[in-house]
Amino acid sequence: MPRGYQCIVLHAHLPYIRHPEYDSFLEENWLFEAITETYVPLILALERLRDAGVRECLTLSLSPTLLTMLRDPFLQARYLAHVDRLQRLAAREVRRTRDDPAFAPLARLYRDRLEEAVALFETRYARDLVDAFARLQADGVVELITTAATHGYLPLLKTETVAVRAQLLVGAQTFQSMVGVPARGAWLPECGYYPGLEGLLEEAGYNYFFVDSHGILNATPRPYYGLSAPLVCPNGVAAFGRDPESSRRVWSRQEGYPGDFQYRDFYRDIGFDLDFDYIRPFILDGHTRIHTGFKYYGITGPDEHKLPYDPAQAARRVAAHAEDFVGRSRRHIAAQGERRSPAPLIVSPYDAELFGHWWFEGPQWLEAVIRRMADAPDAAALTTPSAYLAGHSSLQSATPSASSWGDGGYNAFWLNPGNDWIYPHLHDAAHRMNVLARQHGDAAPGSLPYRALQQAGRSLLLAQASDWAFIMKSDTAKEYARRRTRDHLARFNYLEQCVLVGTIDERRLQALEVMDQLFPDLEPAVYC
Amino acid sequence: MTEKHHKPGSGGRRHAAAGAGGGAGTTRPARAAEAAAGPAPFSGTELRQVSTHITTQWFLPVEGNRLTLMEIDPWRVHAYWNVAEADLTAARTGLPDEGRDAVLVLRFTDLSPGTFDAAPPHPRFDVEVQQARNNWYIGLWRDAKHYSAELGLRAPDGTFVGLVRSNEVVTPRSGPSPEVDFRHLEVRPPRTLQAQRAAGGTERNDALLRDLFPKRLPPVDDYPLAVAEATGGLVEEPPFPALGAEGGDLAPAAWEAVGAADARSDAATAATAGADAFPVIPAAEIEPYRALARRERARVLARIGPPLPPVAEEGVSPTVELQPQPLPIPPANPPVDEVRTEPGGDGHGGYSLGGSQAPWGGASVWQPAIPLEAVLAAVVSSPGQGEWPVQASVELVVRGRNSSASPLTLCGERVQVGDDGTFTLRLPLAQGTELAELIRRLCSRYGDKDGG
Repeated sequence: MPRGYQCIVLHAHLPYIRHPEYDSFLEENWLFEAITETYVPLILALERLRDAGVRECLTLSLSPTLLTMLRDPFLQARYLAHVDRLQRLAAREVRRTRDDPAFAPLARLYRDRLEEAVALFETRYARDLVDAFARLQADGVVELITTAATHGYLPLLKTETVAVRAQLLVGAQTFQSMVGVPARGAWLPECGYYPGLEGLLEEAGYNYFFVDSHGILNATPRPYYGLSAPLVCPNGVAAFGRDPESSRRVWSRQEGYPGDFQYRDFYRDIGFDLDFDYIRPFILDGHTRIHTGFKYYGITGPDEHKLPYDPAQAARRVAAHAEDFVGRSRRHIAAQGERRSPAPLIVSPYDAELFGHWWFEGPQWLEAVIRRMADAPDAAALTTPSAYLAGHSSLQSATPSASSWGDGGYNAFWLNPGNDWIYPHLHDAAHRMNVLARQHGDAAPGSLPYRALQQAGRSLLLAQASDWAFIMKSDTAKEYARRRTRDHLARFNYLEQCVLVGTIDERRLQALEVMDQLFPDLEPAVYC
Repeated sequence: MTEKHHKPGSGGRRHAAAGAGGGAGTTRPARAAEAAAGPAPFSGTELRQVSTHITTQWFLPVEGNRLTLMEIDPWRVHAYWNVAEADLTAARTGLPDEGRDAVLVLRFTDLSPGTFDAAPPHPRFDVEVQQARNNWYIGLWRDAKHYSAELGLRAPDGTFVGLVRSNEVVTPRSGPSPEVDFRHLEVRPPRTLQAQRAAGGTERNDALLRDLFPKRLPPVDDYPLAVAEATGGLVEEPPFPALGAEGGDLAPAAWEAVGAADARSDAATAATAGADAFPVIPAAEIEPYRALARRERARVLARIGPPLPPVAEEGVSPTVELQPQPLPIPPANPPVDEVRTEPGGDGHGGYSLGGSQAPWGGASVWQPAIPLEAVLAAVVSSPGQGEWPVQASVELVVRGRNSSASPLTLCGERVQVGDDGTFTLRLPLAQGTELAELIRRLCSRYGDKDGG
């Protein structure tokens, strides 16, 4: 019997970005980069762990929009075109650096990784990475969970309960139709929780969810075991709290592992370093420098001076950091005192895209941590929330406090002068969608009014994505986020008017269905 | 910004576009051939035209009068509003000098439990806002507060004309809860959406209902209202025991009477409903209880002052019911388990209510250092007569008399003590188990579940 447990959670999410109206679209690269740099390395690591007999080692949240995009033939084809372009660049890079003892191995490394990604993506899984993750769950290696349909930030949508309800129900339904089994757990977008949300989570079929540390620590009544045990809400849905210490070790810019000087630097990329004429054939629009993924330098230090990246040295640091993480977890659990029930639990959630994309060595580190813990589970065993709850079904009853994992710990990152204009529109549209669905709930499935109602629901869900408010607050791609919000709200307004007046232009409706091609089974009744 | 709360990935993937801009400016239009978007014979040009046309024509301003509050963090609330110019003009005409000097204000009402013993019934404050804007950020001075607001015009003489009411918000708690309690609950077993649908689905407001009536309570603990449908008749409700002259304990006979009624209803529940069946309560059958509550409310209001102001959206007729019942503070497993004298301490001296109780039942001795009386009060509102969802808040009202000259601290809060030494402290109880427990108590009159 282990003395305590460690639960590692990765949340994989990207906003729905798919632009068939353009031959290429820069922001679609977010998905392509994540496939190559995060999802494929993660699948490979988990397959190795599975072959080594490791089970229940990771909880992986796959957002409905990400699932939809990974299953989209249009985006799958564009991904292969993207990789093909990079493979041509890799071939040139291998030639260009062949006489450079520092860079030549790195060019070959990137070339090999691209080949590996294509082999897994196209050959082994027939372009279906969702199937790869589903198999890993079927093998008992991971527990897959999901989140709200378009990652809507629920605390700021709750003014219209129907909006939150639809986000959760459509998200759960999408996961189930994609993966084949229901998700037991919910990842709350941005860990955004408010008291009462657990009722809607239960309605969507969820058994547990995650909140940030202070959501548990400020729960009512006080959590007797602090963060080292989940709570169960009065309706029987469990809440797991993020452990701040293990989070800081990965996230912190000052103390986090990814900032180690031996690790690869993200920002130095040949897309910015080399002559523009050389790089031009490999960028989308032919005139804007972008990251290509070919990065030859290590972090080296805090200033601009960088030394060539040395994978062997980085691997040694990976081992040291994995040992440090595991050791701290064991000591933390030991510090809880004698064996107790519920057994101490450390919950460590991270954004999946950190691993591999931003932190190049992240997947290696994760695999190393899992192997170490699996080898000696007595002091701290890996677990998943469902496995933990199976052994600890009786927990302290309490209601977490409102919280998020955003800046400041509450709603400020998604509600500020940079993005507050969206909320009157979002709330009003949700209210009107409710009215519309009630008034036209008798539309026959497949009929034009029904399709228009479905598409209005999709437009509303897309407008609600937390990503847009997030990007508006941050420094880049603001105009794209504003445009996406306006586009989806306008599409909702248009479709609403079509349904209300009873005149639906099928050609236009079909165009919108082609552009926003997700949630095919969305039932308008979800808004009633 | 703290590292702890810094959004993981905020410098993250979205920065992949750094230096590259975004949107159409960085894209290449699709060629005239069909876009690879499935079978629909759309060209990229046509799709773009549809998209552009719709965005240009249909991104519309929000219409209709509305005031919405959103909590940002424990100390800030954001308000946005939309009011038709005609309504604003009409409101001005009702003011002295046709409202020439009137200002637009957000009139906040503090609905937090524990605040309605002051006069006026709910504390209010005004925030003057600029008419040209349609939103405002409001700084607050306390966390975990419950507010609603009304946008209106205020004349120099104080006359206020309301234009639109807001929703209600509860600001987050910024620190640990004062409530210290430990009880176990079973985690709900996983259930699929299909299983829910096969079982008849979940009604729209099940979430609230389940919060009020947690199905995990065994049948013997179910709220008696839940059996009304199953038994075909309401359980006869004995009259509420009268408050003692000093607001003291209940008459034992009254507890016994309701207990017997509950025992009958419990048996009926067990016979007619499965353990997992969620009770469906016809609104009509709740009405007798509502009537009872209204009578009780009237009686209590006669004691404690004017009624609470209705706070609801326009067009909604709320029913506000106050059901205070004196309860003996139980000797075990209470929200607050001991009273102890803390001379000195933080400099306030006096007394404090607090401490924690070990979940395995560690020693906790009830030794009140001062005479106390506890009253549970529930405020229940619904969107209309006999309609659901019911919303409720509950608080524990602690009254007593402090004979010491030292300042008094209860649950970490400095308590205002009257000239005669009496004081009242109102402690909010969380919705959920506590609320269900309160309702059970109000109906059963048994007091504490453990027999206290």
